[in-house]
Amino acid sequence: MKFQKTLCLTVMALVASGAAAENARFLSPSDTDLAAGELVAGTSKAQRPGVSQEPVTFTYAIDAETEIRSEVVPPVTRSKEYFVEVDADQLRRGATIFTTAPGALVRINPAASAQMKGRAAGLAVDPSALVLRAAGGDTFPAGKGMSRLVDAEQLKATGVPFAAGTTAFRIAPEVGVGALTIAAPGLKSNAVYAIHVLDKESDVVLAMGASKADYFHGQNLRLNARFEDAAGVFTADSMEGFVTAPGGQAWPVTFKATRDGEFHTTLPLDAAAGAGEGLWELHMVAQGERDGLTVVRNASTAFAAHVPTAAFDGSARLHKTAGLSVALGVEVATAGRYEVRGVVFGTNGAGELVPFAAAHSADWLDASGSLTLTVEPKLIRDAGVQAPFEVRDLRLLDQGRMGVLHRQARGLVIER
Amino acid sequence: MVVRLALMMVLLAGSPVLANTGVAFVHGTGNQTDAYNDYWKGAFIQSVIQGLPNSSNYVVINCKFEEYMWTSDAAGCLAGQLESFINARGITDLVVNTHSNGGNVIRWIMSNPTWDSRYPNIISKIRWVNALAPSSNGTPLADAVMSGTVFEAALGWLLGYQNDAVRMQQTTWMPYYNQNWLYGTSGRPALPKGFYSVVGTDVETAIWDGDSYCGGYDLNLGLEITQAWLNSCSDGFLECTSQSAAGYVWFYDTSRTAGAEPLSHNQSRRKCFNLDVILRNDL
Repeated sequence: MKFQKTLCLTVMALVASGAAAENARFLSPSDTDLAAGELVAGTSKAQRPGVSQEPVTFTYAIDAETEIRSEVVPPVTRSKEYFVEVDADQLRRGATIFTTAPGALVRINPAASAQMKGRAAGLAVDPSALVLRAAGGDTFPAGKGMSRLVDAEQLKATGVPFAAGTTAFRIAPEVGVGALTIAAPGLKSNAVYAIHVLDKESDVVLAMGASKADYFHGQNLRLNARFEDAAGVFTADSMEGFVTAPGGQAWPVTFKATRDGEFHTTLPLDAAAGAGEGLWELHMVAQGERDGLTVVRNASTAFAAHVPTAAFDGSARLHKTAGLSVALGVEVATAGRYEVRGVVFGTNGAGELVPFAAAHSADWLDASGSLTLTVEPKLIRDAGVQAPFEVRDLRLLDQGRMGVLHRQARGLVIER
Repeated sequence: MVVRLALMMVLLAGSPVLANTGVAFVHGTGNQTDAYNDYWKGAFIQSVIQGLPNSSNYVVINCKFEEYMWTSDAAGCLAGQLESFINARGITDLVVNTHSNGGNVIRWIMSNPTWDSRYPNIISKIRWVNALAPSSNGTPLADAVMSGTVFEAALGWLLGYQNDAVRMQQTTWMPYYNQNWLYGTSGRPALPKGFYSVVGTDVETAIWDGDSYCGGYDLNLGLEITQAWLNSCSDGFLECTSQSAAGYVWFYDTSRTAGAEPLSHNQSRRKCFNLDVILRNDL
């Protein structure tokens, strides 16, 4: 652990020199904290445009009752939805969708090719002209078998950014469940259409989630997925998916089944890949069978992949001021704009550590240096606190690359 | 409410000179060039600003909120227009009214004060933010809207056709940003200034009910079906849990609106059910 090694050396050096920094010390990160491993020098991951190079600090008071949780919990997606693409000929003849409960919601929109060409709005399907065919063969013509039809203009008016030319309806309960057919016999188009099915009343979900919300360059993404219903987990027949980076690059992933019905996948992450901001995503489709009915679900989840461009070097130097001013050493492998932030706790009259300030400091660092957190004396007086202090929820951020490089629930102890 | 009153008392008591109050209107997702007419409507703005001592002290923001909240086209643009307004009008006490994703953009500025040297001064001038139906924890509708676009992107349309602001409001994205880059949600430090949400709880579309027509009947009709993607408490675009995820809940619509009417997602930026008067009196 590079971090701990550096920390030990720094503390030893300070003790040996008798420096004034002896009263501020880093704590070791715990298992639930986030700390970068080996740093990456000269990463190809681009900075976002217009990154400031001015030093900026900002500290403000927070309430002593504030509850701070540093651990970041990765999301678990639970999907009852899927989509399928069909061409216009298929839709004229009848496209099959699968439901497992009555009352599914269906959206139909011209697919991406038409969207990208800007001509999708004129290709909308008229929902009142659709013909539904139940699994048993009963036919529901001209919008029958549907409730709450909404045409493209009505959906557009909502301001919800559905794809241009989207129409929607709910399948009426009398149509039943299973393999249903949707036909648009009068469709005058040669476009490809996406049919989205939300099996809203179903108890079958595709549950999936990554093992962590944050990964570093070179680490393995690990993700589990499973079909669940009211009775528990059941095994999917197939699961496929791919990972996308913020810049749009995609990598297929292979899911492997486990004995308990779960599937898992791993993928080494190239966090430096390409340009682009935002999160990484894993998209997947799963198919299976439950009680004789075909089940299809899509799902996606998001996570971050960071390039470790800098790290705390383990040093903390306390300046002699009326307030608090502590410089935190930062080892920089790639130049950038870095920020340190943390929640400052002080000891109240009852001897309890309570939060009283949120402190931030950012600057452009070409090479290793330090960032200083400061708390004005008035903030300390107003909060009625004194030493010992702690900096909790301590974070190091790469503002130019949107990197979360360090996150530590209990970061620093300041005693004097 | 108690917190807001207490804060107002402190502000009044602590002001050595009379504050110069201004109000900013910050739109939601989209690229606005005339938000006064296109997003808010003049009747709403003009009604709200009657509460200002100087009714010229208002600004209607026009930015490109199709981008991620942190970008120069989003938070950068908002900061620029707020800074210009503050400087040009000598504003010392700024009330910010946001709608939908506009709440995320102003929250970005307040959560990341060191991102840009303009941010600290802007934050210092803000009295509080009234976040009308903010998408603080994302929306399942953004998930639904994004579905299909990315699969196709993998086949060659690398950019897709959905904008980044919608991508960002997915339910797996906003919790990440809330936990890492944004303040004000559970478990995170409070924002440096108050963030008070107005929560829309339902959509009413009875054809015989005149209230359904406020803001546009067709517009509400569509929102009623979009509610199907959401849980039982929603304004047609956002679940109540998302609207109330950051800051403090100022009020749930029906507790304050005329006739205890709910505010659909579009009505919460319109002159509907006395919302304009509530915001006017807040100044």
